Amino acid sequence: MGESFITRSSAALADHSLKRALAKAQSGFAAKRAAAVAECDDFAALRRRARLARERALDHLAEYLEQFERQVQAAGGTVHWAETPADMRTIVIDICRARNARFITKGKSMVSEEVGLNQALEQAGFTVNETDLGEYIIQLAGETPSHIVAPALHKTREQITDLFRTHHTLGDRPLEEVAAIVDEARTVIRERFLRADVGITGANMLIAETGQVVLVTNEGNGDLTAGLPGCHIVTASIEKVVANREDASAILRVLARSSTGQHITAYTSFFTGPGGNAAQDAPAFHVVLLDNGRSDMLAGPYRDMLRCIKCAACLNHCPVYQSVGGHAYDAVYPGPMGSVLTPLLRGELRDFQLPAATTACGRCDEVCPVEIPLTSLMRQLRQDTRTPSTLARLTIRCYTWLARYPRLYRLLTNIAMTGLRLLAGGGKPLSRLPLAHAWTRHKDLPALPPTTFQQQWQKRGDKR
Amino acid sequence: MPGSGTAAVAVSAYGMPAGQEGLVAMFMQQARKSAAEVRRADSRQALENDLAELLAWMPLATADIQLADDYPMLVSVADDTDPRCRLVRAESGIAETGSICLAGSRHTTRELFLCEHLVVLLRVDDILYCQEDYWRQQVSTAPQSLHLVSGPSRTADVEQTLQIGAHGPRGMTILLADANAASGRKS
Repeated sequence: MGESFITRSSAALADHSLKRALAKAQSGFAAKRAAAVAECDDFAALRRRARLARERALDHLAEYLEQFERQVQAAGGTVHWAETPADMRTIVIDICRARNARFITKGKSMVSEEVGLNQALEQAGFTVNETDLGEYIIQLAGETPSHIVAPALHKTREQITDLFRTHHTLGDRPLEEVAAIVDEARTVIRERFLRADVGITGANMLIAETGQVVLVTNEGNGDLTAGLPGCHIVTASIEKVVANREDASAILRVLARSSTGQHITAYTSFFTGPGGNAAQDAPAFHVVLLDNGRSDMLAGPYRDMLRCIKCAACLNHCPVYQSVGGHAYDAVYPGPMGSVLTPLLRGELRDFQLPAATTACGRCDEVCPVEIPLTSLMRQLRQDTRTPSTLARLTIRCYTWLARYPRLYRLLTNIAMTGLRLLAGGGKPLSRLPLAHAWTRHKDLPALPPTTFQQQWQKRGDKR
Repeated sequence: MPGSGTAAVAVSAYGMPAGQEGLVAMFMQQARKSAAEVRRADSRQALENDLAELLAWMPLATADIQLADDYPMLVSVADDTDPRCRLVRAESGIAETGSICLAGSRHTTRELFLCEHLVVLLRVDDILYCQEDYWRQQVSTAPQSLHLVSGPSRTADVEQTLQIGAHGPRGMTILLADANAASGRKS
């Protein structure tokens, strides 16, 4: 994988399989969300209510986390605090060792991706099986998720069929139809559900008032991971907490609609400790909560980003993400939300290119169900972290000066127009342009009209 | 929250329908959107017929499936290891989302998620408007698990193509029982 976003995205743009996979996903997500939003009486009100729930959570974060811990303890569960990714890995490995576990099933958890949990568990000698179909596919491929809701979005059906043929004992069974692929995974993974010693899931929310972990899924794999083994470990980040069940409901109303365009997902489940059911062998219950820089974010100028409910609407509506896919970001969280989160959470030098990977079109702001000003946050990050080059600064200064003298501006643009038309040989497109190779390397500059915009505007004005 | 009763109404996705019949209609529409089959039994006989037909998958004599006189107590089921079909009774239904609510017990995961087809019995009177109404009913401490189920399992992880029947049930039927069907009166 290339060192910079530019080289990675250039490679992505040349990848035809990826292009096909992205094209399939793009129209689907946006259209489904639009329909689900349109069918509500007043989606704007739902959005405001969801934002309120998230703001309330951030305003009282420490208090709610402590309340959550007390409630989980009262129900016979345990909350563990992980300041760093290494802490989370150690805590989870220790729990698994204490249970003499060998086989671990996993539901989708972006936090577990953030800390590299699978690799650590495997190195510690455990067998780890992802159970979400998308996660399972990329586990077979040895890849990382390219989308926070649909991890295998970048894979075509043919690629998935090939993966299954390589890794499963299939014989001559046909595996071309989507139904056959899903059935094959169901059969293989079902056996793993029944054998698992420990199940690890993520969390969509943590409810302070009741000590419940909310898990939202469509496949049912999260519930089978949580409910069948003798031990359920939840990996989540601290900002997932909400005050109470009413606030959780407010977020659930916008989550599925923004994410997959459903009015609700097939399964919305609430888990807590075994409580009085401990005698009936309800699973042991551990919640491991990761900070990894979020406490610092809370106190700083990027606090709004912590409202994020990981619905992926901003990815699904981003022209940059839709063109290059998730892997070009080389980050756990891609797209607009990832372009803000990644530099703040991971903060490696290369991550600071990501806030520049935007067209500033603002669609992410429009679709965010908790009204995070993503475009502003990206702009702010760019200002905070990038010093513009001398050439760029000089160019802007020249322009600022020039724009104050309309006559001179018109004169110079007329000269430039004439020059460019001469260079192009009349009404032809330009395939090369001084100082703009980055543009002309990929596309031609369209043929220039004989008159400037201002001249055309003046003419229209004369007619009126 | 102050005045949470009205606040809940104000932030739901759709306005509150009039009367219990309005809630039932909304519930049916929303559950069908999630690919659940919804049937309504208005008499004891109709309910028994529906159950017999739906549970014909199970290696059970119809006689094994009995409704106690004071249904909702459902008397079932001889063999609980057969994975083909499972019958559960929902505590409540939520009209806004077409979901059924079920507090977990030791067998809940197996019952709800390991069968091929899930049959859920729900009393019409137990249909509430929104999740907030259900929360208000839950006064004691949270159960170990609580499930809001909205249709059969599904995935769109292969080329964003919706496929019903992922890891959980491939189909779900909700049997709505009217009060006179539930009360045990033969009509």
